[in-house]
Amino acid sequence: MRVTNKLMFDQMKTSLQTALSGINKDQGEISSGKKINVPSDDPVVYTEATLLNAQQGTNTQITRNLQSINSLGSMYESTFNSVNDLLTQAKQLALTYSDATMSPSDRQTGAQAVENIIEQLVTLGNTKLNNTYIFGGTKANQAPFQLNPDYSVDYEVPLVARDPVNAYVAQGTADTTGFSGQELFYDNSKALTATPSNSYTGNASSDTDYNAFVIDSSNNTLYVNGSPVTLDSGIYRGSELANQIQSKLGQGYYVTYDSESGLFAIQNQTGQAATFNWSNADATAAETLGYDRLDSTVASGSSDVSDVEAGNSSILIKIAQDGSATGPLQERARYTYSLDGGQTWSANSIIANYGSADTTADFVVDSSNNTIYENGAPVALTAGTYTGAALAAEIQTQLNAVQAGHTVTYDAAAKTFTITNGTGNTVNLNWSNPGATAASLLGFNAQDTAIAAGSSATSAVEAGLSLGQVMEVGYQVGPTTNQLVVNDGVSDHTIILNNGPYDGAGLATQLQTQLNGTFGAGVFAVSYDGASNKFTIQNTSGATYTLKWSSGSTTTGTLLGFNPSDTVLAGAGSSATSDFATDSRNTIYENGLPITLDAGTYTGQGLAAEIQTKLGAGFQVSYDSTANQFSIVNNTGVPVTFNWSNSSTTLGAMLGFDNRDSTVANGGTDTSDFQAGMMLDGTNGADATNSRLKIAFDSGSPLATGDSFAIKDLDIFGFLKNLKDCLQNNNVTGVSDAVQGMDLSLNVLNKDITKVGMFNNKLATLTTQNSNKDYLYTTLLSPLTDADIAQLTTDLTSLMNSYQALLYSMAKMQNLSIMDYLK
Amino acid sequence: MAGLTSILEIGKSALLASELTLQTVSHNVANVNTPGYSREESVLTTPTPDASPAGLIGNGVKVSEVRRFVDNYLNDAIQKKNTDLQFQTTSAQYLGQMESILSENNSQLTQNLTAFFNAWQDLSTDPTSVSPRVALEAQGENLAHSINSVYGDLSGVKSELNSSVSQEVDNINRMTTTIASLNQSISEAGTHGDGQANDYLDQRTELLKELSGELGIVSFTDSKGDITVLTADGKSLVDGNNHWNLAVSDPHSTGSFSVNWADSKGNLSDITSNVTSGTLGALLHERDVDAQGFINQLNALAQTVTTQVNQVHETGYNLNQTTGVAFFKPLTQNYAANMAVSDDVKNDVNNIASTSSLDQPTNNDITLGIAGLANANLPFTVNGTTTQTTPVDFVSSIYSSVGELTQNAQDLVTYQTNTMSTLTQQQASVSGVSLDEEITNLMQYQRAYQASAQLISTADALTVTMLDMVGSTTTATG
Repeated sequence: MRVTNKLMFDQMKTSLQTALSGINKDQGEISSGKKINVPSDDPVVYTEATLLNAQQGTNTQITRNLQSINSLGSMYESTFNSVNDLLTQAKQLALTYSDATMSPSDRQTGAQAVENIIEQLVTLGNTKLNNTYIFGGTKANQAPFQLNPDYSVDYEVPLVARDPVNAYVAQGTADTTGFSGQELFYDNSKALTATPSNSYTGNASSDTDYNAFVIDSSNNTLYVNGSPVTLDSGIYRGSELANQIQSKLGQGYYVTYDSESGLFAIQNQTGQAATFNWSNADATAAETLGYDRLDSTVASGSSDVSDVEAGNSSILIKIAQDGSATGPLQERARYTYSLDGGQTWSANSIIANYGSADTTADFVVDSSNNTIYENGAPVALTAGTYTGAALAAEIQTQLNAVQAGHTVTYDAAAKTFTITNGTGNTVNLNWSNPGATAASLLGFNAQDTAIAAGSSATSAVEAGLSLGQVMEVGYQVGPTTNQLVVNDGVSDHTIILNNGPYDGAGLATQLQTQLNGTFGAGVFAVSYDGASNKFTIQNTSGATYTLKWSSGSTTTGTLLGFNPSDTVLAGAGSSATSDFATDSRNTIYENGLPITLDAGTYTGQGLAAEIQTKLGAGFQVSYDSTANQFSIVNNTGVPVTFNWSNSSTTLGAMLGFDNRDSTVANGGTDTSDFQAGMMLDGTNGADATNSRLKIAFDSGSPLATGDSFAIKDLDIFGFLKNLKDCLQNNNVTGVSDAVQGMDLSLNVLNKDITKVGMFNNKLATLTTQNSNKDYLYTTLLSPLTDADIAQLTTDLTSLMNSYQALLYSMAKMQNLSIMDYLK
Repeated sequence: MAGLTSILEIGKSALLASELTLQTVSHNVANVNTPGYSREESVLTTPTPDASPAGLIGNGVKVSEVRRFVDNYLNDAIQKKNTDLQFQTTSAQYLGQMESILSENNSQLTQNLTAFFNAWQDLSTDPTSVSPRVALEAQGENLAHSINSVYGDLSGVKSELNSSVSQEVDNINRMTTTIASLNQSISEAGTHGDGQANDYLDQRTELLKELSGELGIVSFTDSKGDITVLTADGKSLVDGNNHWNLAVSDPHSTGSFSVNWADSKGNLSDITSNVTSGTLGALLHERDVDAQGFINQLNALAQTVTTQVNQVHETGYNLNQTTGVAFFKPLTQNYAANMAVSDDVKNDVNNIASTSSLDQPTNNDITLGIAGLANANLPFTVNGTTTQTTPVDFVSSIYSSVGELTQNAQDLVTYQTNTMSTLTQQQASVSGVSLDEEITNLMQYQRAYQASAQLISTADALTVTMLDMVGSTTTATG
């Protein structure tokens, strides 16, 4: 190729330019320390480095967040520990002052000590960090706890503002910064407290283990993305309600219930964000499920968690009329209860009108249950109140007075009497004789028992029908449900029914007997229709009678199904029929068909036997007197369903079954959901009126008018105030009961202290993770963007060498010219 | 007429030929560095010989033509290559400018975005305090300022591009005018050229190369030697000694010139969309696609941040217990240019909201909500297409796109430069002047000239001899 000067110079220029730009680039990288300075150096790496830098920036912020949460965390820890110490002191005080040797003035001193503790707790509850009350939730600019002059404490923070605020603890993850006053001083586990001024000194206990959620038309709707979701009505436990919500929400939603915290969590896995419209006024389930009235939009993969503990409920119980907690119904106390904090009160009810679990009371023998028939002749027991052993001795005495040789013993564990025949002759105990009124008292069935010489007979069922353990099946006529006022045109007559349990026909007969006893034989005919559970009272005479249902003295209206408006029966053939179906309280439904038990008064075992008899072959029914629960075993070979939800099932409550159907496979067992026979049931088990809250009293003390009790959410301040008041009122029972309350509170607190510890551990872990992350970002960024100075200086040296060589050769070439050789 | 006169004539022709050749060599030496100059060479031939009894006798020498060393194929290739080279060079230059405007070191967009959202987190840990609000307001302004300033710089590049369009159009018009007049000069000089026509041809070739660097053209030579030039889409620019002008106009005052072709009656037709190559094509592309694209993306960023932050912020309550206050000034257009912290917040940082409820004065849900936007997939709408991504990801996608474009343009510049350099080396090899060669020629023709002069001097001596001889004869007879 022909080489020209221009070509040579051009090439030289290009080479110099290349070398120089290389030097320039190296120098730029050395001076900045970065090999990537502008996006075009390497767009991918530049973008990656930008993102890493941004993440590192966010990470630095997270570190700051964690630091500020950390100081809160230590604050919570020391506060919780102090509260724990104070509560332990309070428990010690309760123990000390429940000692019977302490004088009332000693207890006054104790009351002051408790006041002091309450004051300190309020101060702890109002702990501040900087300008923020750490238990103030989202209203932390004012003190959350207010101490009143009577040492009650008000929690001033509204429900929606109780939870503490969140902060970002990792990139994109916001978490709580602490604890609420709610968590520290309150808990949704139920606790029973007695009023300090009570005169009742016995024990009271409550079945408060778990919450029941009662869903009905008033609280069955939630809104998702603007559309209503309606739950099936029923009584649910938390996990059951969670399942119900999940099935109604449909695919992509997962609902769980944490019984520890009492919170529901609805997880959205639909792949797109979902909005729960709690602010919609028609979203009636919000309060029941513990959500505040703010809409929440939940990204797919996230959860909407209850804002407050769900399933809160409380009951106040007041004794309306003196009486015992056990014993004959007539002697029992009457109570009234309130579900709204004392604003409205229920009608009076008799304590334990389905019986109680008490077993310690004495046997009461009176003219109604004092007769045994032996060999066809009555043997009368002396009226009185006996222990089991004493009663056995009395029976033995009376039997031996007729014919010597009987030995009678009482087995306190089995609650049975055993009569041993040592007379040398066979004796026959005629329990089937209607005059043998002591049969049920002693636990013998109404069947004659022949005892060979040297043999014995033992109670078939638990003895003690006159004790609190009775379960009354059928229509219950008692002191408050036994009167009907009838006017015969001349004056009012009060018809009084005999107390006792009746089935429908029996009650009709009893009413007819009492009416005709007053107005003459054949004047009235009363009938009962088992299909409709209604009574019909017919006037067969020519006269006019007015049934005064509206009269204040008429107490049988509800029992017989009549509204409180008078009925006039004018002339022969005129009749009146129940306005509404009555509650016969004797029916359970199996596979949709009614099973009617015989009216009567049963022990738990007796009732189990009756149920088994009526259910027929294949069923085994047992009663567990410890747990106070019935179990029905299905051995029929096919699954059966017990329709407890059927509104005509009237025995569910007494047997302790919720009003939810249960299908029992062959070999399976349906067991009572709660204790049978406790007080405070609705007409049919747990329902909206009682939220499954129950209470039982022992027989140790009579209940006095004005005594009151409360089952409500655990409240540490409430407990302490109660203790203080008990000390001031010198209520030793209350002081001693307070130990239990303090234990409950300490349990809750220990749980909380564990939570604080976990919270602080989590913070420590997060802090470590965060600083690891920061280091990670640095190590990731460095090789991406940092210049290798050693490499660069080497490169630069070699570039500069070649540049110098270029300059040298150029100088040489410039010198090289033909002109130099021309003269 | 053979004899001494003939020798003189031959000597004269040799002198003239040497002179002319030396002149050509001098011209070459003189133009050794002239761009576009093609080496020339005097072509020596013998004239028609004279008949003589001894046969045909040579009649000396003559310069039959001055030849230009050109390779038209190479010239065409260079001309076409220049279109690509100039397009990439101009693109790379402006992309480089935009890159340095957008790069994080200068714009600090992601840094400010992160700092802004971090400031919300700071407020979340102390939601009723004033000092984090002051810091937050400052971060808000920083963010707005950085977006404003990047927008301003990008607009500057865009208007620079626009005025360059006008300048390049002027350049094109100047070149087409000159090419037309060169056409005339060349055709006047005739095809059998002398040196003058050669230089016109060189000039015209060089101008065509420059013109094709401005925009893609099609050119061909007609029988008369005139060059006809058309734009790539067939609009005449030069035909013979006529030329057509391009003109810029902005009838709708958009701030962007359109490029028009003016026909002989002066009617304009818009050819902007057809100019896709050369410097002019690059300017238009950078102005309308890249600069405008980045501005659009920046607008999307400003719009999304403004509206999303405001949307959450306006639902919250502030320390003055009011609600519905915008954090950023609410805008409906030109977000990037005008993005700013709202006057309410600027005048009183207590107007920064933190809680969604008056009943919960220490709640921080609003601050968490806004801080959470940093990690949320927000809608960014550019040219009607909406992408869902986080703000920082969106910004880094801008970085990535400007980086890719610049890197690509720079790579192509290197490639085109290398190709061009190969071509120009080949051209220099054919048409370039080698001084060594020329000096050698110079010496060669200097010697030839000296010999020719010696020839004349010899002929002269011969004539004197002969005259002396004639003079003595006359005396003898006289």
